[in-house]
Amino acid sequence: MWLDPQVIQSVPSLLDGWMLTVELTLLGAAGSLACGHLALAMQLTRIAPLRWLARLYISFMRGTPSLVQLFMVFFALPLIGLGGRPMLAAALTLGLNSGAYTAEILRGNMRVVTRGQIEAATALGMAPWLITLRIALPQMLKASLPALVNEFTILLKTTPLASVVAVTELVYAGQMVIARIYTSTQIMLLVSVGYLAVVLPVIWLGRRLRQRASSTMRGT
Amino acid sequence: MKLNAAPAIRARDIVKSFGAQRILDGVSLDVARGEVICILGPSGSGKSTLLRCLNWLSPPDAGEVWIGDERVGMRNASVPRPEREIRAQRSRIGMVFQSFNLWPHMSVLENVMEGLLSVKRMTRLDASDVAVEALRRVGLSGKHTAMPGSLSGGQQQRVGIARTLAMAPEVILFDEPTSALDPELVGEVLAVMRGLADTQTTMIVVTHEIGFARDVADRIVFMDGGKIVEMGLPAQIIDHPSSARLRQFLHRFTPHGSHS
Amino acid sequence: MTFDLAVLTAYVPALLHGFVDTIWLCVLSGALACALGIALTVGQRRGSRLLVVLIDGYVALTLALPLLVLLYVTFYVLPDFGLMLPASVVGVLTLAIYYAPYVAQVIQAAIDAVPAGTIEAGVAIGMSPLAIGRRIVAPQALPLLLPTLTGLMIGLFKDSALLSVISVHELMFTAKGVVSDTYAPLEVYFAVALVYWATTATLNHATRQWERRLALAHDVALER
Repeated sequence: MWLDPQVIQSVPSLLDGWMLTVELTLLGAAGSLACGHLALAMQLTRIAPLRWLARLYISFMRGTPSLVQLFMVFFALPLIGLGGRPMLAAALTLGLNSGAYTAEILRGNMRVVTRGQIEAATALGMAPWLITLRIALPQMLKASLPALVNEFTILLKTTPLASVVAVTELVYAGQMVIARIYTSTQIMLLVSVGYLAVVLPVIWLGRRLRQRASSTMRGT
Repeated sequence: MKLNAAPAIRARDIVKSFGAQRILDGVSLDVARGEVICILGPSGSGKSTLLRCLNWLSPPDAGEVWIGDERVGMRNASVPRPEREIRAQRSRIGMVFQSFNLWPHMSVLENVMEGLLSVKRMTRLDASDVAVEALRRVGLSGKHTAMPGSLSGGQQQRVGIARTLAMAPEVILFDEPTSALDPELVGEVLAVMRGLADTQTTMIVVTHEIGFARDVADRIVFMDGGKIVEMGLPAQIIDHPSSARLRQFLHRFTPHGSHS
Repeated sequence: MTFDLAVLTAYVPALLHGFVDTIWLCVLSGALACALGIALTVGQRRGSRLLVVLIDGYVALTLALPLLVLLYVTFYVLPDFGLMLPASVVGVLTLAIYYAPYVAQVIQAAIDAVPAGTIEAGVAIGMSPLAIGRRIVAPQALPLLLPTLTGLMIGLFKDSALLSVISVHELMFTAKGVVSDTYAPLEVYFAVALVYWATTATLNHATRQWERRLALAHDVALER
């Protein structure tokens, strides 16, 4: 093994960083689902300003670099008394950013729920919120699964952004170690492996999900 | 034959337009409890629209609908009912759709149970019992865990009927229930409907199955151009149509009165 | 705390300069990414087993790694091996290397979408593979390719902001400088966001117009 002993000693701090990366990803994914559903619901209301707001949100999040978004959130938080929380800024940015893409994914899969299915539910006397909960959402989410897995993989790959505001996720943890022991190549290699170890299986999983989705469709 | 009681469902002077098109032009109809009405007519005559007006799925522009002694959709001529009440009324009117409209992510049993759980707020146990019985009545006892996608068209439509039956509605509206089926599957659905008619279920059936109408209906209604043109006993309507339009319509079908 | 965009007026020239730098960087790395993407496609279709394996490995690596990690890897690791390149070169190269696999994917998908029958017709007439590529595949694949490719380039444009973390002189890096001068981070980053937004919105709009025009041409061609 050609790893310096110092490098091996720093593996625990890298693992801590890795845990934070996972935490950021999960928080971001939760935020993404929340924002995505909200943005979609807003686009479907009869209230025009809400629709415009949603479209504006989606256009802005998809049309600007996430780095700029992070800085805006980071410097805006102190204004509402939540300053000095880089982790919050990072998680919030990731959730908001990914939420725009999630909203579009969900919207694209709305057509899985046919008008007839909704009519049948209405004719039975089901209330709209129940129809959304029991009939529309389960089918939409199921159809969206491959695209959502893909989106959350991208989310995971966006978490290094947090290192820019000194959140000690994997990349920042790596930088801290490099600042101490100067073995850049090996540390960066470990950092890379850390990401590969998570992303490669998820990509593989996504591919299997997609294959299964297309084969069940052939069945009907 | 018909008891002297309040009609199960009543329509009075129903008018409905879609944009500039007037689809229903003053339709009135009384259906007694236990009566089976078949509505015939060319496409565009407003038959399906009439059904959708009856359960307020597509509220009419003018006119009244009554279920029992309760007015559907409106408190009075100018005040609509709140959505909650309309939904409660809808749960008393059953509807079977041409394209079945089953929910593909739920099993057969779950499809039939859904209304009981969501609308009638039954416990899972009670809902399950009712659903099982409904499925037995349509001959699908072995298919509880099957998914709609694995069923034939005829089976899917029978599930649709079971879903409605489970709600124990006061009247069932059938919107061309066999029109989307392959010919060899039509029979099993008509057989189920015949069975329902035999048990005094109030039914309004929009259909092209003239033979079924002749055999099973208590009355046949012929609609054209948004109006009821003729109405009467099946034998009379089919064998001795009095209006030219009805004669023209029936000519499209084979001399034996049903098209293949 | 007030939100006062006027503090930026003195820095508009600097920010404009940064924007031009960004455009320049993106054009360069975009062109490089496309060239590399074409090379990857050719390599995967016609290369030896070894080449295909190498390319697959490279593609898997870049698809799985975050761009920022790739940037840091090239930034920290290359000097270790004696390669001292200016930051902008590192930036352009890394962007190109990162986007090339995506470009290759898009090219592959477009080529695969060309109806097999049209290629068979070319073979039946006796056309050479090169001629088939030039006269049959490329003209049909191009309209399918260009809209998605533009989408990728828009992504590249947004990702160029990350180059600021390795001190490449572009819009974001300039913005950071302005922030340290004016202590007005919200105004500066808001203005910068608007610039990015306006650019991507324009590019998106242009792409949609382009797609529409291509679809019309396609339909017209079919009618004949």
